Amino acid sequence: MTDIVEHLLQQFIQADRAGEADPLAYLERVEGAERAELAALIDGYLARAPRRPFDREGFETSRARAVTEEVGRSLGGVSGEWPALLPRLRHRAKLRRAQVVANLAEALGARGAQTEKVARYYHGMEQGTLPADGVSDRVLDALARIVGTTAQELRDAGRAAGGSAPRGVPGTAFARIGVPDPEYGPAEERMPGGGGAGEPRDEIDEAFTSA
Amino acid sequence: MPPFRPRAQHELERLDDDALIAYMREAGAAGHESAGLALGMLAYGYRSRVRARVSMKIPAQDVDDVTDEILAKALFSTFDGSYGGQFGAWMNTITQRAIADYHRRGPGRVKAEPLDEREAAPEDDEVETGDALERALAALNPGHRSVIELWLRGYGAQEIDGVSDANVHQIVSRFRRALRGQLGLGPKDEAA
Repeated sequence: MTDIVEHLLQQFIQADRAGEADPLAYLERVEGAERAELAALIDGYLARAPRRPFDREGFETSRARAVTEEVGRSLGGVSGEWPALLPRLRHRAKLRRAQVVANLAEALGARGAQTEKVARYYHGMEQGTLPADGVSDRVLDALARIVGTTAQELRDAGRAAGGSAPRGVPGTAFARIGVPDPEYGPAEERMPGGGGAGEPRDEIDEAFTSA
Repeated sequence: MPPFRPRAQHELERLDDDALIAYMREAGAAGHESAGLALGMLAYGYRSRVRARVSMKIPAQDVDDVTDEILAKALFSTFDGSYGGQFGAWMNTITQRAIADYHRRGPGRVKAEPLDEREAAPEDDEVETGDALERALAALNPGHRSVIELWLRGYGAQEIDGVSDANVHQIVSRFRRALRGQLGLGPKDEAA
């Protein structure tokens, strides 16, 4: 005879095989020792479950797509893991990108058109197009305070991924999946120098491109 | 080295994890867009189950964040030399580590420590829960362990070859007693 724990485990497995299943909905139906045992068994099943078959429609609407694109931009870019890390940090800080830019511009003392320059550079950090080596500690210190991390963590993330990906891995090879995030617009080329064509270099350029 | 041969989606779907990762690296080096597809297949294929595991261990507001960090860490590792094969098992290691880190330090990034350091690191209660099942499994003889492995993958007694239904039920029942013992819910020295 099947007891409640085994019954719920089998129900969960069937539901998971048919699609996504929420383990908490099953755990809520038992308590105490039975709940602890069911949690361990569900965890054991999930740890052994094979890769789910790919479903392009499901992928397009899942967070797996965002992760794929962030990792892809990191692997093929020149900004290390920033394309994967920065969106997550600002999400955790509950800040929109425009707000991060505004706060960063203020912290760097940007005035007038310089704020747009800060926006372009920050965009490059999230897109993987701004070389991490050129970004100064001044920028990283300010950005770390805004998104709630440390400058060292940002610096470490800038050195990883893109910098250590196999030589010759073109970034676009990993970025060509799904539709572009509308917040980013069209993909940009690497931006190693000044903030914009024809603009004189200033302290903002120095802060982002000469460390 | 033979020239890179692009594969269609239906061909990639048939590859196991390590073959898919090898293809992803080759396609990336060749600049072929199917590298992104392979990356997406891995992310999609594991995300929901990693998320389900994380959801049982940490507060709801941080589940998606931690899940995405785990996924990103696992995917990055396939390029940085820290990945040694068996992606599913590797993902399990990173998942357990991330959950333990979360409880130790609060919300934050998954630490990128070498595997040997991870294995030597102290465990917390959340990791302990997962380890309890593995310890109970490790105490079984090989024949009984293979029965439980199949049962944990969702096979019913009738689908497990070479063992009667009654024996499967008995093996499962004894394993569950041992698991409850490992979880501190019963005698730890319960025969498995």
